[in-house]
Amino acid sequence: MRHLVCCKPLPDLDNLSVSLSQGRVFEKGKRKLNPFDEKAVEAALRARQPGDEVIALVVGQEQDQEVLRKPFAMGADRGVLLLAPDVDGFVLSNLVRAAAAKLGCEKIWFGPVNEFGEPGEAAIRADGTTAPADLAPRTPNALAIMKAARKIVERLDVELPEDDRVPRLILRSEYLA
Amino acid sequence: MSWIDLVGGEQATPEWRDIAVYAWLDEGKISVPSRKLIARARALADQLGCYLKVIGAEVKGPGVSASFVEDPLAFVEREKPEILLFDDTPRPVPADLSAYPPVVAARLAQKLRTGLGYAHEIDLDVSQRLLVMRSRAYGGKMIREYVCPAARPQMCLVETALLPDA
Repeated sequence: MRHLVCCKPLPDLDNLSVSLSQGRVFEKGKRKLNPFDEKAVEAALRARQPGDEVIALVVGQEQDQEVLRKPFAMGADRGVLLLAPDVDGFVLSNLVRAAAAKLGCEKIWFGPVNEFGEPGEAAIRADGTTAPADLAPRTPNALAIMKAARKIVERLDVELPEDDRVPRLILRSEYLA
Repeated sequence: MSWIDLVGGEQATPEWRDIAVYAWLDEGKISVPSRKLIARARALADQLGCYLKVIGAEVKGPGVSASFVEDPLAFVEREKPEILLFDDTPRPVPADLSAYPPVVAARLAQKLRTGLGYAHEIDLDVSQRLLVMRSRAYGGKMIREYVCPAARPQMCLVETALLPDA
């Protein structure tokens, strides 16, 4: 059985710069893996039976493949990057479903809560399993981290009807508080 | 159902009207977050000049035009509310998720193929008949406004802990 773990890249909150003149927040560092998604990776790894495959999926831009280094180090078998502009929950769940169908994954894992602290909308929309919230993800040792840095991240393209790719929620404006 | 056609067309037709609130019962009575949300939705309905309906629990109060206790999907397909609000109170997740508002909202949004927003504050853009969902990001430094321009109903999880007491 193949497990698909959805990893969300989050901006590195320690590395933000705020520009008052432009009214924007700039992300300076690389994006990091959502700590709740580490629990999802851990749950998938614990649920893995002999012969199963754990595939970590990131939906985002080209530089988000760094987010997959941690799942690789923890023990994921494959890492997949789905290039898509920042999407809303509806499009994300459609992309994840299509990716799971294309990769042949029977189980989709999501983190227990999303960044707002609620059972994630994408998890329910995509009929996925949420990892338990009290799971402690394993810390990979240095050798695993070094090996993970060399692993290849696969690129994935999914065919979706045009309507499934249209985001329903649109960011109308963004301004400093 | 082919009545949702977003590519090249708008779904926000005038047949979608009124504001609906998903309410839940807390030990037999309408819960406090639901009451707060109904009060806020009443203010929005006054701005829009439309009715306020409640789905999920029987609410007989001034300002609520009708209340329905039935499957939310059947309710939406029949009544076609323009705006559908859910409350998103931080509370221990119950064992039975079938009535838990965020889960109900996500399932409904997926079946209706519409967007589900999350808001700390909700507002209305009356000229465009849009629900403006405002939330804070980056630790509170940034305010983001989301709208759902084309898909109906416009669904939102509202952080009711930030609403004034009803």
